Amino acid sequence: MTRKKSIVLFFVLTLFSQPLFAGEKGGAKKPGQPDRSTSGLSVEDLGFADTEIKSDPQYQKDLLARSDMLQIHQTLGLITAVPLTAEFVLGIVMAGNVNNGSTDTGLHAVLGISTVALYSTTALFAILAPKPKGLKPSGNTEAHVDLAWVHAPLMVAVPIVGGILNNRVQNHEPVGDLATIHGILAVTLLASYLVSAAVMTF
Amino acid sequence: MKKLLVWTALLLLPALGFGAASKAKWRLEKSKVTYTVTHPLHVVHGKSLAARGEGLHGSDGAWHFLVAVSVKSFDSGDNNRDLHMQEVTRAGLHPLVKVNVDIGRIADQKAPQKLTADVKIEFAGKTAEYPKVELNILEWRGGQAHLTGTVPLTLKDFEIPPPALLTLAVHNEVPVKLDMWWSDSGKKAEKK
Repeated sequence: MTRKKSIVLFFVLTLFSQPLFAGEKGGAKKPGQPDRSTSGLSVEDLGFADTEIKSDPQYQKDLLARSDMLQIHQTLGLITAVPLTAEFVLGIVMAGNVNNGSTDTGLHAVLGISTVALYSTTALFAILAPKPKGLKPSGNTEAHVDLAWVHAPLMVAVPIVGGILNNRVQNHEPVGDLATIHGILAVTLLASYLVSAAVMTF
Repeated sequence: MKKLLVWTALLLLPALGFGAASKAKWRLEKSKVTYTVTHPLHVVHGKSLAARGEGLHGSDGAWHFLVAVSVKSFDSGDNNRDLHMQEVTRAGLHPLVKVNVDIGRIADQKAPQKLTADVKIEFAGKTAEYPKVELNILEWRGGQAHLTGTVPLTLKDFEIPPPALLTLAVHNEVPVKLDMWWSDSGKKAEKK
């Protein structure tokens, strides 16, 4: 009987003691088990939250879409700078011609409308690009976004004032201070737009 | 009966902590991991203070460390740029950078001390090895050691397409500077 009890005790102890090589686990790795290096260290032991170590394919897709849209925004933004600058230069020339009695403002008007269309398309890509909830711009991007609050309203005001001014010119009415206001708004628009592009570059 | 007691004691020894592999002994208390990206128009430094790590002294005499840091924890000062960095490094699919460091020999309590380490990095779904990376122990007081080093990481090693601005791509070399404070959890337990 004593011998039997000894044998039973022996097997019970064998089953419930840890393996001799404590750092190794026998058999194939089961799903969900930490992937231990040969040193026995595992990322799972470091205390990261699940959200920090879990793969998120949807997040990666959103990042990719965001990158693509902002790339288009950047390209269109740089392209828009060209007609915007050209429009400003044309405006100076036009002002001189109007002062001399000319009423030919067609090119300036058409280029102005095209620039507004290009600008709006550029802005749309930035506005619609996916972004993480609660993300507030920081660094140079913050300055870029802040400047948008300057040139976006101006991009509305300058053509409106320009349209009123153009009507007066075509009807041979006195323009008053409207030309000066249009010019000041236009130079502020151009300056803020170019600075906005520059802060993202340098 | 005596034989049985001997066998029982032998089988129970691992439960008392005398297993063939040592338990993790060192813990990363504080760290700063900084990457540097160079573009022709500017230089960007992104840093993370959120790395975690453990280290142990193996029975073979070598030291093994594991450090991991979330890619999203890096801050370059512009979160739009950080999001783009996460996109090119595939952080959505591989959120962690894992660094395995093996050091053959560390002289106990000696500082300053130069070390040579074999570094293996898992990042952006790829693995790259950097042998003979120079690390320095700047301070070693009691159970705390201050260790620094730079890993010469490159974008090509991890098949990361180099981002570009105005058609100018960033440089392939992205050195990663490590500044870490490790504490000996065994000595901390003794103090308690």
